[in-house]
Amino acid sequence: MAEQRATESGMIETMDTPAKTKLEPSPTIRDSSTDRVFSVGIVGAGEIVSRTHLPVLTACEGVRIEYVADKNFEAARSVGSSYKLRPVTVADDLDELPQTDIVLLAVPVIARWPYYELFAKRGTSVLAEKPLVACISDADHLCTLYPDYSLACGFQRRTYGSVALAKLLVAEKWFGSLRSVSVSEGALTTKTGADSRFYDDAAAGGGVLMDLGCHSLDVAMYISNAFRAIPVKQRFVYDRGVDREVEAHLTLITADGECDLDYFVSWLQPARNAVELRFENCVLSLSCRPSQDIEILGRKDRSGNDQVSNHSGAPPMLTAKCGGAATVYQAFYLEWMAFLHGIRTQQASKLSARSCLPTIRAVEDLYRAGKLNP
Amino acid sequence: MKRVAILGANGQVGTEVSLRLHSVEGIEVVPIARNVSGSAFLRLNGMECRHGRISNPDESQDLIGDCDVVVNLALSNSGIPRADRQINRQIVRNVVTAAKPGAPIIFASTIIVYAPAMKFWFPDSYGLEKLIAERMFRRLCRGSQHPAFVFRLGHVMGELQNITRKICGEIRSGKVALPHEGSCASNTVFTSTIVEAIVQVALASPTPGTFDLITSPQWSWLDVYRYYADALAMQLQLAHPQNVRSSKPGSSNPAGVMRHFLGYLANHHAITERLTFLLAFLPRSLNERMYLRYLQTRARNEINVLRQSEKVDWCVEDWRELKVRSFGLMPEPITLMKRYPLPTSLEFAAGQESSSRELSSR
Repeated sequence: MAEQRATESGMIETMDTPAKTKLEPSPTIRDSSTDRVFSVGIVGAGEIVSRTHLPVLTACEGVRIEYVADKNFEAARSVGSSYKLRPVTVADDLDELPQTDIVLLAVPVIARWPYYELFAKRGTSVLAEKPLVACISDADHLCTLYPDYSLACGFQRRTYGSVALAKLLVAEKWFGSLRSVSVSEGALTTKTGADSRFYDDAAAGGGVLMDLGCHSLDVAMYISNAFRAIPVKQRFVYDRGVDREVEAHLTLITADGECDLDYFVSWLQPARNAVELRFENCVLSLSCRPSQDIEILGRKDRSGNDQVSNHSGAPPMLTAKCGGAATVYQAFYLEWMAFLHGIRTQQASKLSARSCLPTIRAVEDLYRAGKLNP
Repeated sequence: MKRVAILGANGQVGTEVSLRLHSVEGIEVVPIARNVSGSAFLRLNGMECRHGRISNPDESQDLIGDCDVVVNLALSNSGIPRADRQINRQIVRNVVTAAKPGAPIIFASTIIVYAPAMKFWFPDSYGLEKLIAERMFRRLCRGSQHPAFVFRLGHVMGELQNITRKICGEIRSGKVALPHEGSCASNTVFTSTIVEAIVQVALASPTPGTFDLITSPQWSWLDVYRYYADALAMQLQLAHPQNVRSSKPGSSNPAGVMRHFLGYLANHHAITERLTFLLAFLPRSLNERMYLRYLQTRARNEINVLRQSEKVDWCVEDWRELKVRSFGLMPEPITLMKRYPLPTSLEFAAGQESSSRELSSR
C-alpha cells in the first residue's frame, strides 16, 4: 500500500515502500518504583492537548510536564503560558527535543513516523493520540520498536465504566454467548472550529471513520474481544475525498466464534449514539458517551411486541453500574493512569498499541472495502 | 441462685448478654421483652422470657419484683424526643420502685456522655439524655436503698452485635481503613465483659458506683480488627491512608480557595454564563487563559470525584481515648468469652447469615 508521510518541512510525500529505519526495541525504564515521578513532554499544541490532556495531566499524580512543543511556536507559547510550561519549537532536527521519560504525541498521523523513531531510539515511552498510524503494516512494525508497555494509543473509551462492565459481562457470559453487536454513532456535525480544518483533509487523518468511528469500532472489538473484523457489506458517503458517513456490516472474529457487527457512523445525520450487544434473551445498551451505566432490556422490547411499559411508555429495563470513567476528563485521566501503571510495572496496559492492532486493521480493511465498493 | 432480670433483652446487647448469662452457675437469668415477637429469638434458643412493659407501673412489679438483680438495658428510641424522654425516665422510676428492696440495679449508660468524638466536652442529645437519666437513677436509688451501678458502655462487641458484623464484613472485603493505622484506643467492650460485671454484682456484691465498661487495658482498633481477622482466619489488609476518602476540603490556602471558587463556577452554569458577558470586555489572551484554567479546574474536579469514588471511608471514628474508671480487675475479653460462651449454634457467626437460617428452620 502506498503511504503518505510528512517530511520535516511539513510537506507530504508519497512512497511505495516505507522508509523505516532499522531500530532495536527501546530499552526498558528500570525504575518501577510506585513513587517515581515521570517527566512528560508534549508534542503537538492543538486543541486536544490544551483542552483535554493538559487539564488532566496537571491533575495527575506522578508526572512532571517538561515542555510543550509544536512546529508553530506561537501555538506552543500560547498553550505553554496558560499552563506555565516551557514552550519548544519543533525544529527540523527533532533530536533537539528535550529528553523525557514519556511523550504525548498529538500531531497529525501523517507526521508521526520520525517522532516514533526518535523516541524509540531514546527509550522514551509514547502515548499517541489515535489513530496510532494509518495502516496495519506500519502499526505492526511500530510495535516491534517499543516494549508493549511503552507504547499506547488513545482509545480512551476503554476506560468508561460502561465499557469495562460490558466487557466483563461478555467475557463471563452472564447472558450467554454474544449474538451480535450494533454500533450507531454520530450527529449532524458542521464544526468549523480552530482545529477542525483537518476534517477537510482526508490525508491528514480526517474522515468520520478515522476520526470518530474508530472509537466505537474499537469499543465493539474491545468488548467482544474480537481479533478481526471482516467487512461484508459497506456504504461510504464521500465528500471531496473525505468520508462523512459509513454504514457497514462486518463479521467479528472472536475466540468463541463469529459475531455480526452492524456499524453506522455519521457526521451527516443524528444517530442513536449507542452500542447494543444482543444476547439470546436480552439486549445490553451502552452509550457512546462516558458513562458508568448500561441498560439491559428484554429482547421483545426491541421488537415492540408484548411490551410492558411504565406510565410514560418506557419499556422496563435493568440498569447495571460499574466503576470507571463517567466523564471525558475521567476517561483521559484513567487512560494516563493505566499507561503510567503499565510503565511502572512493565506490563502492557489495556491501551497498549499492540492491543489496538485489531482496530487499526479493521479501520484499514473497512476503508479498503469502501473504496472498492463506495 | 440469684435471679437476674434483663430489661430490654430483645435488644442487641440484651440478647447476647442474656444468652451468655444463661449458663452461668448460680445465676437464673430472666430476659424481659415487651412482647413475644421481641423474645422469639431468645425463646428459640431455649430461654424462658417474661413479657410486659416496664414503663407501665401496673406491670413492672410483676416483671422484676422477684428478681435479686435488675439490669436495665431498655431504651425507648422512637425518634420522637419528647416521647422517648418521658418513657425512658418512666422506666427508670418504675425499675427503682418495683425492684425487690435492697436489690442492686444496673443502669446501662454510654461513654457518649463523655462526647468522645469531640475535642471538648459537648455531648449529643443521646449522651445528654443518658447523663440526665443516670443522675435521676442515682438519686432514686439513694432514696430507696438500692445499690446503684451505672455502667457506661463503650462500643459493644460480640457475635450478635451489628458493629462486629460490620467489622467482619470490612475484613472480608479487604478494605479496612483505620485512623492512625489503628493505633488509637477503640473504646470497645465485649459482651462477655458486661456479663462478668453483672455476675460480679450478683454474686460478689461490689461497691456501687459509676463505671466505664471498656476493655481494660484498652484494645486499639488494630487489636479489635486483628482479633476478628484471626477469628475469620483471614489476613487483615489495611488501606493506605492515601486511599482513604478525605472529609476535609482543602481550602486552607488562597490557591485552595481559588480552586473552590472555580470549582463552584464549574458546577453552576447559570453563573458562568453571565460572567461570560463580562469576560468579553477583557483581552483575548486573558480570555483564553481563563478558559483553560476553567477547563483545568473542571478536569481536576471530575478526577477528584473519580479518585474519591475509588477510596474507602474510615471504618471507625477517630474518637479520643477515654480515661477508664474501670469496674475492678477484669480478665481479658478472650478469657471471658470462653467463660461465658454463646450457644454453640451461634458461636462465631458474625457477618454470616447461617445462624438466622438455622434458627428459622427449627
